[in-house]
Amino acid sequence: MRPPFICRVLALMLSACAASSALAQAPYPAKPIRFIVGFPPGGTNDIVARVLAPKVSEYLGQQLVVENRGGANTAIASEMFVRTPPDGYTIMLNAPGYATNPSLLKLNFDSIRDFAFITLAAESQNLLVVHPSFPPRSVKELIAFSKKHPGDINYGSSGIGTTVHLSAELFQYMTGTKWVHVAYKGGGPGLVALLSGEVSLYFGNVPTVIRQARAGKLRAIATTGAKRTPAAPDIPTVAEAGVPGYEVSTFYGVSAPAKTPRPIVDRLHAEFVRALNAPDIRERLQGLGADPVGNTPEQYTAFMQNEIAKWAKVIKAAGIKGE
Amino acid sequence: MELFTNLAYGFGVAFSLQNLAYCFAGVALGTLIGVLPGVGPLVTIAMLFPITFHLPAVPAIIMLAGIFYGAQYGGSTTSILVNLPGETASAVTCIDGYQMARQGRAGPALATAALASFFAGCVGTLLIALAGPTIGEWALKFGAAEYSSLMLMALVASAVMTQGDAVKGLAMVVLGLIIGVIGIDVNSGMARYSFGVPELIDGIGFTVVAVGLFAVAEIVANLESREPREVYTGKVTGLMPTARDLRDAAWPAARGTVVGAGFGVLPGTGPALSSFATYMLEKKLARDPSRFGRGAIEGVAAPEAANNAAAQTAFIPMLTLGIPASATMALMLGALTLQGIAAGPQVMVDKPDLFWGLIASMWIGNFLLVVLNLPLVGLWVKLLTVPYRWLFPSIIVFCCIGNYSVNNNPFDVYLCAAIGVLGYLLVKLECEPAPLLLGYVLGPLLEENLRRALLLSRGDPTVFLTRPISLAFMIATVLIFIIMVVPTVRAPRRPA
Repeated sequence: MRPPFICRVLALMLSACAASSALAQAPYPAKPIRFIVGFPPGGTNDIVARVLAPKVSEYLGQQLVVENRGGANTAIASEMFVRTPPDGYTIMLNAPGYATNPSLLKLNFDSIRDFAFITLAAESQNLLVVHPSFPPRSVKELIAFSKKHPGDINYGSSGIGTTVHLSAELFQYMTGTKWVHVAYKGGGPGLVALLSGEVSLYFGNVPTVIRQARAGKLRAIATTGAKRTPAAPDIPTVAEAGVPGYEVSTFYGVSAPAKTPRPIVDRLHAEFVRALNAPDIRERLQGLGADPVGNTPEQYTAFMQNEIAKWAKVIKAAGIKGE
Repeated sequence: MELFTNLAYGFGVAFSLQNLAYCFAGVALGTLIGVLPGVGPLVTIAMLFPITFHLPAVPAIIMLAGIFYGAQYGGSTTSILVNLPGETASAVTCIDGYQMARQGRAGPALATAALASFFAGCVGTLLIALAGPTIGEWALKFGAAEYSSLMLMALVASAVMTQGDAVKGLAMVVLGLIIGVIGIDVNSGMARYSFGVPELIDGIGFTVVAVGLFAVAEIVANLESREPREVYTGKVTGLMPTARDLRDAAWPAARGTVVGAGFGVLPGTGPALSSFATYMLEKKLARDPSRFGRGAIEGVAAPEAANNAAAQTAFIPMLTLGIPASATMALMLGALTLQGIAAGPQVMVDKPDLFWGLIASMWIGNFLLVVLNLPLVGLWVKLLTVPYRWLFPSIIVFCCIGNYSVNNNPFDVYLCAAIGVLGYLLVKLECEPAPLLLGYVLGPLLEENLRRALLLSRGDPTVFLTRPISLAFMIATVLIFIIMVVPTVRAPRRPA
């Protein structure tokens, strides 16, 4: 049984190699495209990639194969990614960690210059929720309460450097309040801590926490986006409720390695935007709390520069250190 | 009797031809990936994820759930046959299961694992049906202080894991602790002992450590011996467990079920810890603890029951609170979300077909798994007749694939090889790998929760004694310590 099987696998691999060199001259895309996700399977990033991949594959006429390469909040995947050939056969999903890593870790690549940004696929926001026993009912009350009890309030997060953590740091930075950060290993344990009242505050991913709020297990205060989320139009944003200019977005963007030819970037851009406009994809992304965007490569590059600069400021002010 | 009406309704849903087919597909696939070391339920469910877009919610979740608990059945197979933990939770099964196989009792070990899993799966499912929401609330009573005390108790009890020299056992636990703290510290966000290597920032994965210590080290040690390696089939003594085996395995399986069901509900601790805990418990309760590590059937029945019970009750936090206890659960929650189903406190009321259909399908699935696995026992045992020169390269290839598939990073494969070398050195020094693995799992959890508890109490250590559940664990820790120390002080520890 065994040797013939191995022979068959080898034969398959050899023929695949032969085929790929023969196809090098064919029009793009001539072979499957690797779609790198910087996290292990299971997170929202991974799910967003797996929602987009089948549709974009259909439009490109080639398979987009989702490949998980987890570790160091996308830094490991990015480092491997910038060294892949810029031929359009490897693309990557950028996650928020991508914008905070330059301030937290020593990176062996440039987070702007080594990438060809294709499009900001979707954005989601966090929802500030509190335990029902926690007195403040609005952003203004929360600020007043925090000023009266400096250093007494515990807030939970899904880990250092996550948007859950940084949403709270930005809030403190902009309002001059002081809370105590309690980090958990992932969103599940963090949410349990809030439900049990071990911590009082949490900036959770909208779809995850909204159902707890609807069931009366938590109280929703405000969302972190620039606009109210379609998932809960009755909840104000932090900015309109008393902290003007406050905005945290969890973004899901697509990029290629730098020096990828412009026609290939344009083709990928066109097909991703087309997929983002498909009704079934829109519906699925919105179900995950992510609003489809699909902007131009230039807009996405500017967005990324802005995000990196913003978080560098907050991380420095909060005194967060990575390595 | 509302429960019976609900269950009858659930079976009505689950027995539809479509749902039965997806349940069977799920458990069959689960068994397969469980047997293949390294290809875990997480990777499989991730790959099948897009398929669920085209399915209605109920069959989709029934299939994904089947893969998840089916993998727990299959996972024990390679642990027993070749000392290769197929899944995280079956690492403990290696200890006695592999020894049983070496004594020609691979068949009874495999059959016992399947039967214990079946029993535990049925009880676990019954628990979800009877008291899912209540048990879900129970998980919320576990704060940082409770976790710290629980981990401390487990760590003290871990001395039981050692077979021979207590000092060596302790050294192994400490070595495990050291390996465990590598990577980003949850509380401070600082990377520790990563030496600037980005791959070490997230720490060393469980699969890497377990496969390296058990499978790779075992193969290296085997290759060293000059005489041809024993062929097991020469002394295979029956495929099915004897009446005595069943009698010996019954109570351990029952106790394992209880322990596993409890751990399964706690998010983050999971099945791996439950199988360790129940193994230690059995060894402590056994009349002759020296049999453990030498092919005791209790050492297979109890952990296998525990990890399958935990695999069932892990659904409780997801279904009743909307909280995923692990990455695999997060994917299933994602699949439900994309179907427009909000898992959480309302799901029993809003989607009774999903809730009760899933529960009924778990019973059917567990039954299918036993029917599927028992006839396979003979086939698996035959696999051992494959000459060693074919078997060992295959095992190594699977080890590599398994470690690579988690992060698609060759670094993990090199690391596993390095740990294999460490494991070989430990074999030579007659040090047991199991306490190391336990220290590796428990140490970081204890540290994380201890520091969190003290952060929350603003540095007041009495928090461990003022919270009732924590106090109970503390008292139990002291009792365990006394029970273990007293005989050692009276008489020198008998070398096993």
